[in-house]
Amino acid sequence: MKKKSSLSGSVLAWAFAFLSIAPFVYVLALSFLPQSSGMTFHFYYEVFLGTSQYLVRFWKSLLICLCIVAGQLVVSILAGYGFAKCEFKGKNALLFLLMILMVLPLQVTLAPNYIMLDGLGLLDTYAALILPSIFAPLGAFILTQSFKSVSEDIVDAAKLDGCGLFRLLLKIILPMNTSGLVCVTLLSFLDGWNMVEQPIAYLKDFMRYPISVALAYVPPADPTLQLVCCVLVVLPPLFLFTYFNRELVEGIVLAEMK
Amino acid sequence: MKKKALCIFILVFWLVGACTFLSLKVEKQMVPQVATVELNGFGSDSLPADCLMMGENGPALYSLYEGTGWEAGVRVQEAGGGWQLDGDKLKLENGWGTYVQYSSKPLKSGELVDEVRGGRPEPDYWLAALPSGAGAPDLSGLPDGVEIVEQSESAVLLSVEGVAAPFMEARAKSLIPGLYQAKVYSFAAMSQFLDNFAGLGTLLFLFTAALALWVWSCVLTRKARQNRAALLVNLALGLALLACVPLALGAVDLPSSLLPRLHITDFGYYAQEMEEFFESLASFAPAASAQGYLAPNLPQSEAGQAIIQQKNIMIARPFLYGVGGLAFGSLLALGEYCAMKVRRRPRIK
Repeated sequence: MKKKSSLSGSVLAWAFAFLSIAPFVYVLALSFLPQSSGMTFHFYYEVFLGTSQYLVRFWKSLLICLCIVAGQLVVSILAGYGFAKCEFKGKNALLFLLMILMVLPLQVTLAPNYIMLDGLGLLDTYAALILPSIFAPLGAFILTQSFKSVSEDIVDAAKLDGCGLFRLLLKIILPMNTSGLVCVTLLSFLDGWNMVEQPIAYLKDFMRYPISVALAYVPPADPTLQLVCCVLVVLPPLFLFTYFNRELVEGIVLAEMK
Repeated sequence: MKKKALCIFILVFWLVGACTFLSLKVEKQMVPQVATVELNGFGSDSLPADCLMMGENGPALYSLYEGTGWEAGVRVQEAGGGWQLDGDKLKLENGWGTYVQYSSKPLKSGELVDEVRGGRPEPDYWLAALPSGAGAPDLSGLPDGVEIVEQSESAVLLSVEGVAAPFMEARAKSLIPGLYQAKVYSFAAMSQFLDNFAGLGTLLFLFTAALALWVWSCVLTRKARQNRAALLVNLALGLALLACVPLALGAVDLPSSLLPRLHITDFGYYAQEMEEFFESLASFAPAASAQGYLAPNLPQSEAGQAIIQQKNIMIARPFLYGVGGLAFGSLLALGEYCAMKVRRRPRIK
């Protein structure tokens, strides 16, 4: 009976794995096989050598994402430490508010953000994409949960030894929570890499659109070009997932356990 | 898994980075250069007949327009059927717009173009490769400043005192209509093309050196902690090599008239063009029986001999530089290996 259930479980797992991988394989295979002719590298030539538009946009998008990740890490680490290790009035209410903000759909905050960015004169600039993403609540929530796992005794011992706040963070808290940090890095990177609504709402100039949005505007003469762009777009997330695979799973599990 | 992913993706991102610099250059190089005629609708509604060129679906008249979005920039489109050939003029129904008169390459609707205006006239040599069986071309009424330097059954070499740069085959043929069946090459363009072999070789040098360093780094990652310093040095070297790519590309400027229609990487096309050019030049050489069978097969004109000499000097450079890059990368790896060995040698106090 046990053997049967484990067999059916593995079959199910394989089926899900296949269903997850199938779109990638499909995109990869069709990027070499346009509708009009047989196997060709023409579209790879177009995207990687023929014109600089795709690659320049790719690097711009990557830079935007790196800014978002760096900013969100700083904000989330400080907020996470505050929620996990500091005592102050209204802490639980603030954490509750943070969680509410987290479950709000993006579209709800789009209009208020637009009004604020307009007021700050940041519309149609890259800052309009970077600033709101830096303050996304998911990172703070994950790191709050992650920092809670650090024993109070360790923190107290460090403080007794004369460790200041930033030293405590850099030398003790962060090295003990690498999984949480990697998890926040990955999720914030993916958020930034896949953003679509924000650029459409906050940017007017087509040349500023990140590759995630511009992909939809690739000249539709042959969809193979779009598929090759998809292969290009998938490279950074694929690298992050293959490199940080273990930490990502650990980080998510840790956040759930808490 | 982590080490393999890092190794593979570092190479991938290095290549994507290099491709970005390359694509910026390729994009610029592959844009056909066009000489244009502007019609403002006042007084004139006709264009020179040269404006009519062979398009994708027969004769076509191309006009310029400004693209938007992904298609930003000055592009060409086929002007509608509102034109009529009247002697050596093209009569237009709607006389507004900028029309293409000559182009360095055949055009395609929607293509980005580089509008060149009044290049400085420079002396040049033109080599016309005649199609086999077409007979001798009628070169009786050559314009002022154009002279025949050498002529054979299959080619003609002409010296041109001053012609607007860049070279465009259609412009050359409109100046010398007798060559309309021939394939016309410019010595200046070919010389410029050959000069670029050094720059292309430098690029190959950078690529092969980076590849050799990458292979060595992959070997080092097996003991990543021990070899951390060497890996960081290799990363810095890789980035330095990547930073050198735009510098090497800055020295490359290929003549538009010798570039293939679609892909800059169409090496067969270059081989064919060079073969036709140098075979045509070789046809000017005196018969082997007249100058000794072991004598080099050279044309008699100095310009012809000079360009053949330039080809002989430059042709092997990309290959040599590429091998040099591989050797350079390997030497760096060997140096690092020796340094590590010396450092880890047990010391007797």
